[in-house]
Amino acid sequence: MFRHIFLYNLKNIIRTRAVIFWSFLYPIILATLFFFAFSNLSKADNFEAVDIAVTDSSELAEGSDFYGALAAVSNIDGTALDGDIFRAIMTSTGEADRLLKNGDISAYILFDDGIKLVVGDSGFKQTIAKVFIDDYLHTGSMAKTILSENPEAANRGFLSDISRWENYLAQSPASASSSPDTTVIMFYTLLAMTCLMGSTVSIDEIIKLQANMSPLAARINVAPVPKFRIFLYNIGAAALFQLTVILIVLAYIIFGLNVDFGDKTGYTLLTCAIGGITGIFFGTAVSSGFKSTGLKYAVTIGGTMLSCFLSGMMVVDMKYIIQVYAPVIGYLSPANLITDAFYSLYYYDGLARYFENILALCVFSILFCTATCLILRRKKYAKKYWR
Amino acid sequence: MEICVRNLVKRYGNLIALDHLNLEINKGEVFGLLGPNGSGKTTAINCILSLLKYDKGTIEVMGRPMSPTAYDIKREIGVIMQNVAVFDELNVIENIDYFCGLYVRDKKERARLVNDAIEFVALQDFRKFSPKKLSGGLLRRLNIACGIAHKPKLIIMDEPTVAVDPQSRNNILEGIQKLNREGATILYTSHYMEEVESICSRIAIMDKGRIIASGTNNELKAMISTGEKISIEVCGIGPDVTKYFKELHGVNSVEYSDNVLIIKSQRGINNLAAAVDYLKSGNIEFSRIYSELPTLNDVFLEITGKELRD
Repeated sequence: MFRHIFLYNLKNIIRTRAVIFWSFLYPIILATLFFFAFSNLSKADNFEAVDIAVTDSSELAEGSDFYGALAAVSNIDGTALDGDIFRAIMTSTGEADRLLKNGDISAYILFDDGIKLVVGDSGFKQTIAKVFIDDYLHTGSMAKTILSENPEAANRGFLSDISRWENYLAQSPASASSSPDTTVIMFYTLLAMTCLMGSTVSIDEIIKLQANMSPLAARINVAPVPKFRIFLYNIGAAALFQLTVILIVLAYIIFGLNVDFGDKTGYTLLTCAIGGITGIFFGTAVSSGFKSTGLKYAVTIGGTMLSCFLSGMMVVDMKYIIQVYAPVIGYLSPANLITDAFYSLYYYDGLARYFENILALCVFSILFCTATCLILRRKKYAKKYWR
Repeated sequence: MEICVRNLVKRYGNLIALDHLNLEINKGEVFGLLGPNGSGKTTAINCILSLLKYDKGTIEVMGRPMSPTAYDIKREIGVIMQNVAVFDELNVIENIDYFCGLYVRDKKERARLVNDAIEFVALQDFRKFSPKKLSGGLLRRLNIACGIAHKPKLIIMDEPTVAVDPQSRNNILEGIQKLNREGATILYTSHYMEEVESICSRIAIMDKGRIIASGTNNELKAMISTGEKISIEVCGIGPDVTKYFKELHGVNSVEYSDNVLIIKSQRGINNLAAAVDYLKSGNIEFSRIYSELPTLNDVFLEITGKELRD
């Protein structure tokens, strides 16, 4: 009986054009549009090393403190590697002036009775140079103070510790394997939407079982098979279909559009599976609760899209705004939980936040499933809504 | 007794859809439930099938109380809904196999039953057709095949011929008689009196949720006073002609409208010969004259004062 109902239902789902569009084609189309719309945006967000010049000076001799500090964040040969803050060259003061006027550099460092920063304009790049010099001077001042009050610190390697400069970009909270990219949130919400679009599949599964909703359901209800058994078999087929769709969309996003989902593949798949199941039961709960077929679809698709909006699908900052100003809404939004699960896998090495999201999704699935069962258990109906 | 309904009451708010309905259907008969739209036929069927809640009364099917979980009873029932109830995305053979599979587990047995059902409704040439590509009549036949493929002992058919072409209608009606000959008890609802008259061994006439008359075709017609109805297509007759016919022995009423003169006589009285003689002797030209026996519509008309299709 299981095989019979399961396979025919799967066949029925696969052949339903509306389901194929909303569950499969719509996310693929959106992913492709996102890719073309936001790929350049992502490139614009990449950090570009700041071009600066440093005037020749004895204070910049190799082995000096300042040389060490500058060498930690640049090559001092006019080139820059990944993670370097500056593309620095050593030159004369006159040449540095000329380069600054031509706009070839953003600032230059002059050694004239101390370190000075010469800029032609004010802006982001000039600020980075200023922060670097301020930090260097502040560290030097701090070292002098400490050593005057506690000379023994020098023997414990204090000087070598503070003179070791490290590129702070390498200490980002992001996973070691990932590079930060805000546009990936769009793709996370898109995948969350794909998971929740499973609700459009499960709406029909309920309509097929509520005898007051369609003649087809009435015919199924007069068959000698318990309604819950048919429900379970049908939902099994819907879940298999939906998980397959999610995997195809995920594969398209990762391999077709080269969007990085990090290296925790197993957890990514777990998120897809639990997100898909949440979507399926979201659809069954809504479909059980509303009588009008149009309303069932409106609430499901509208709810999914609203949830995706709140998790940053249309405006990336929305996720941040919700997190800061209305965190409760974030927890009540399944799309936000799925997005945040992907986000935490990508940006954090620890799994605490990830499992918090997964747990919340499981709670949602259980609540939706329970609501469906409670409504569906009704054996007879007061009136029918089809003619 | 296959179906026994006692004092069934079903209300939709203030509207009483079934008003103390009593129904007894014996094994092996084709029982017709005849009534105008809105008389409560479909509501009665939905209550019998435990799809709808009812306010009062008892329903027994095959001698046992009917309930949503009476799976042993449901296994013996086949239902053909008023609306076509099939999967649009499955083809003809898949649809029949799906519904048959809810009753019959054995795959070989099911394959045989599905083939029988396809032949029964003459859909052999449309096995792989999607329901969307079938005409209205063929779709109704598929609807029937889905309901009877598992060879049920009790078949409930709710207006299966609505919006069906004459060829498909004849096919369906012949099929129902064949199913009955093979041993199935059939509950058949319709508002087409001709269908009910032609296939049903017993008939109940419903109006406003109540059975107003029941019996065999002849028993029902015997309940009313009207017998022969003579219709004469004639132009421009005067009041003297209608007066003559009114004075004939046993005439109940004479009406003349739209160039048709209708003479209704009491049961057992035959005035056709007298009418022809009068027209000939008076040199009254007429195009057509014919006599009809009372129909179920006349029964309904006499009992309720309105036409069956009002």
